[in-house]
Amino acid sequence: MGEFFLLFGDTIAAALLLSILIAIAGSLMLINRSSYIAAAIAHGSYGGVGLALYLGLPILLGVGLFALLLALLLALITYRFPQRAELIIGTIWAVGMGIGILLIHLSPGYGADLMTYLFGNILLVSREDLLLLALTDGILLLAIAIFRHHFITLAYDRDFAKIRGIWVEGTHTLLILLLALAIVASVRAVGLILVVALLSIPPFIAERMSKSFFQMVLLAALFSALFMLTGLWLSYRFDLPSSATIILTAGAGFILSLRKRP
Amino acid sequence: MSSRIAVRVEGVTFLYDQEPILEGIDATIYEGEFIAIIGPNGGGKSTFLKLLLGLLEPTQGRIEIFGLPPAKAGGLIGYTPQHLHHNLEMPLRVIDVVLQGRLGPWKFGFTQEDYAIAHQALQRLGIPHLASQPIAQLSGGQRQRTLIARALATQPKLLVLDEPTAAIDIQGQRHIYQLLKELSITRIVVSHDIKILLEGVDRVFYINKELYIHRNVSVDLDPSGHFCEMELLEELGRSNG
Repeated sequence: MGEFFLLFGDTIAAALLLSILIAIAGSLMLINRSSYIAAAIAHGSYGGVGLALYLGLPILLGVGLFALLLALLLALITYRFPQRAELIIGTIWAVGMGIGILLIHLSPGYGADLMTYLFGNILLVSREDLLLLALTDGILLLAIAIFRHHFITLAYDRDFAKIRGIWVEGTHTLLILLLALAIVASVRAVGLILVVALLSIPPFIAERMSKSFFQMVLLAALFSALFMLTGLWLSYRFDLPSSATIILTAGAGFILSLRKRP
Repeated sequence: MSSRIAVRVEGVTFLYDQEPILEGIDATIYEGEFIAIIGPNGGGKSTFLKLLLGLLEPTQGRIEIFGLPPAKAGGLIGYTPQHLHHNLEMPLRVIDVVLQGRLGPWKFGFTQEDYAIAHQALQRLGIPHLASQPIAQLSGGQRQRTLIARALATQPKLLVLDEPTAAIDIQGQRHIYQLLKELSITRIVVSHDIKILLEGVDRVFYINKELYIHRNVSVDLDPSGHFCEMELLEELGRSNG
């Protein structure tokens, strides 16, 4: 066990930093019922991977730009045309991935494993990745410290928020931008597909046990840390791919939580 | 009741997909009045409310709330939506919901005073003991009272309630009507429940695409306590009283 912690110091640091990110962004996503939007940003951002490879830019820059663009577009669409939103979200999701596949195909001499961007690899995080995660945690913490009541009121009763004079479209957009930021920051560690599951599961379990939003975020952070560290340990102990053990641990936690419903 | 104007509606028409939902609505509501809005489902009651709240814009005509356009008058309005069914699983306590009434565009936290006002509102609704109850565990009636408490916590000059007694038992209805009678601010209550006419309203707005305003609606109860809602509704829709 001691050896595990020594060998994987950076990885464990990444897991803990990710837990904070998942807890905050995931909880906001859940109370706003915007997991479909997060999934569209995550999958659509694959287009950013292709763009970066095609233009020879850093992957993170490509994904970041693409995610920003998709987030703004999705914020606009879901706000202005809520009744048609699902259809448009599905389209954006697919078109983004299509662009990614096409551009990667056109990129000369590219042979690396693309699964890395879809599933990430928490064992390979660099110091820069840790810095980005820490920075993102800081931004998310600051955002909910300031805007939590606005986010909560918006999620609970949008009309009421509007009548109270809250800038609903701005708050809605900010929330989606925060989701996009969380997704981009976690690309290297958990990848574009896994991140959506991780954003969903710990906050979902936490919500059912919480009396307040604060409690929900706290519990979600604890659960995601628990799932990731357990998953990593299983991966180390039995020599299995870490992304799979992490997500399966979270999945097991999800099923266990469904069983003990009051 | 003063003669100062709380709500002025002038020639308001609202079209949805070219279809008129409301047509040529003129109305003046004075400060301190208690107005009941009734009418058939789909007759435009909710649309009228949304126009007053600034959630919709009239296709034609003009609305003023205390001299302001509705979109700017939100701070003066306490609003209770029709029973919220969604988001019941959100991790919120009753007090958290009531405190939403203290929120504003540049307000990011709550003061001791906000808590005191919120608790006072819960007291008025008779549910101070539920303050730290998660909303997931409330009955329909308790949830409705929580939403009314939230509207009162805004300390409004105009209270707008959409079907405030829909999910509440008879006892609870009496309590809420009593509370509405005691308030001296301007009150607009939408109800499909004709019983509201017995609860001290000043005027009745019957809305069915057009607006018919009635004063002194007499509800004749026969000895068995029964009256025919259909007949009354038809009557209200015929004449401008």
